[in-house]
Amino acid sequence: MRVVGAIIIILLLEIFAAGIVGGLFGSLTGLGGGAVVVPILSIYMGIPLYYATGASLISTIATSAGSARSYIKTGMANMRIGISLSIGTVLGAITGSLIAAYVYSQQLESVIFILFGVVLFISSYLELERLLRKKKAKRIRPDWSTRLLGLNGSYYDDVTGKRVSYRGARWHFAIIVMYLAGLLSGLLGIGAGVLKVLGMDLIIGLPIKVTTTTSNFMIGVTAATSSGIYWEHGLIQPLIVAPAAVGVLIGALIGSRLLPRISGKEIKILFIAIVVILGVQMVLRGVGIA
Amino acid sequence: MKYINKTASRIIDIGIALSIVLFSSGILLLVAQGGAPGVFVIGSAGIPLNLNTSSYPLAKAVAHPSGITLIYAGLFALVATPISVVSLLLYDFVRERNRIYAVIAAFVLLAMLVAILLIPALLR
Repeated sequence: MRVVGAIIIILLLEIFAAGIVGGLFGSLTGLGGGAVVVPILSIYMGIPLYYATGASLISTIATSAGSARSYIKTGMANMRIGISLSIGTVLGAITGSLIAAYVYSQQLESVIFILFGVVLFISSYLELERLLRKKKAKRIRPDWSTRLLGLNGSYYDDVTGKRVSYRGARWHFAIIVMYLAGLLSGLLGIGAGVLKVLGMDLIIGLPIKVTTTTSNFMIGVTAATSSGIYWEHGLIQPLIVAPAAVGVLIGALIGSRLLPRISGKEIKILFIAIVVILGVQMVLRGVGIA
Repeated sequence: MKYINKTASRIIDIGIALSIVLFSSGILLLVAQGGAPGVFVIGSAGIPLNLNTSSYPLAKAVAHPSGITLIYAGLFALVATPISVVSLLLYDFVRERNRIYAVIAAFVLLAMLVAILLIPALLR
C-alpha cells in the first residue's frame, strides 16, 4: 500500500515537473507552455493525448493571463484591438473544441498527433523567422477598420525611452487568421499565440511589443471558451490538470525572468530546435512509428 | 481606460492566485485522504484514467466535498478570470458610450457563455 502510495505521489510530481519544463520552454521559445507540455505528457509520460491537451488548455489560461496582467496594467496590451479580434478566436475555439471532442470520440487520436506535430514545425519556423528577421517599421495605409474600430494606440518603450504611436488596418483579413488560431487552440489545447501574433504583425501592422502582449490577453479568452466543451466530454482529468497547470505557471514565471538575461539568439534557436524534435516525435507517434 | 486596466490586472491576479491555491490544496487533500468518494488515488498504481470531469460530475463533487471539489473550484476560478475581464471591458465601453466596442464585447462575452454553458448542456 505504501509503495503504490509512493508511486502516485511520484507520478504527480513528474506531471508537475513536466509542467515546469513545458512552461519554461514555452516561455523561452515564445511558443507557449501548451505546445511543449502536450508532447512531454503524451510521448514521455504515456498520458492519453486527450488528457494532455485538456491539461494544456487549462494551463494556457493561467499562463496567458499571468503574462498579460502587467502589460494590461501599463496599457501596452491593446484591449480594444484584442477584444475586436477575439470575435474570430472565440468562434474558432468553439469549432475547434467540437472537432476535438468528435475526433476523440471516434478514437482518431493519430490525427491530432500528426496535426500537433505539423503545427509545432510551422510555429517553430515562424518564431525562428521572427527572431532572425531584421525588423523594419511598416507603413500600413489606413482603411475603414482603422477609422471604425479605432485601430490605433501608443505605448512607452523602455528601451528607447520614447512613446511609440501606432495604427493598424486590414482587420477583415486578420479576423480570418484569428478564427484559424482559435480553431487550432480549441482542437489542440494550445494558445496558438504565434498565429495570433503573425496576424496582428503582418496583416494589421502593429508593433511586435503590442502584438505579443495583446495576444496574451486573447489566448486566455480563447482557451476559456473551449473549456466548457472539454469539461463536458471528459477531456479534463483533475489529477493531471492541477499539477500540470501549477507547474506550467511556475515554469513560465521562471522563463520570463530568464528571458531578458538571454541575449544570444543561439540559445533561443537551440530551444526551438528541441521543440522541433518534439514535433517530429508527435508526427511519428501519429503515423504509428514511435 | 487606465482605471479599467488596473482593475483587469487585479482581477487576473486574484483569479490566478485563487486557482493555484485551490489546485495545490486539492492535490494535497486527495493525497492526504487517499482519494475521493469512489476514487482511489493512493490505492492505484497509476493515475486513475477513468476519472475525469465527465465521469465525476460537478454535482457529485459538490455533494461530497473532497480534493476534487477544490480542483474543480480552481478550474472555475481560472475560467471565470477571462470572463470577468471581458465583462469589465463591456461595462467600460457601455459607460463610455462606445457603441461599436460595447456590441463587440457583448458578442464575445455571449459567445464565451454559450460555449461554456449552453453548448455543453445541449451536447448532454
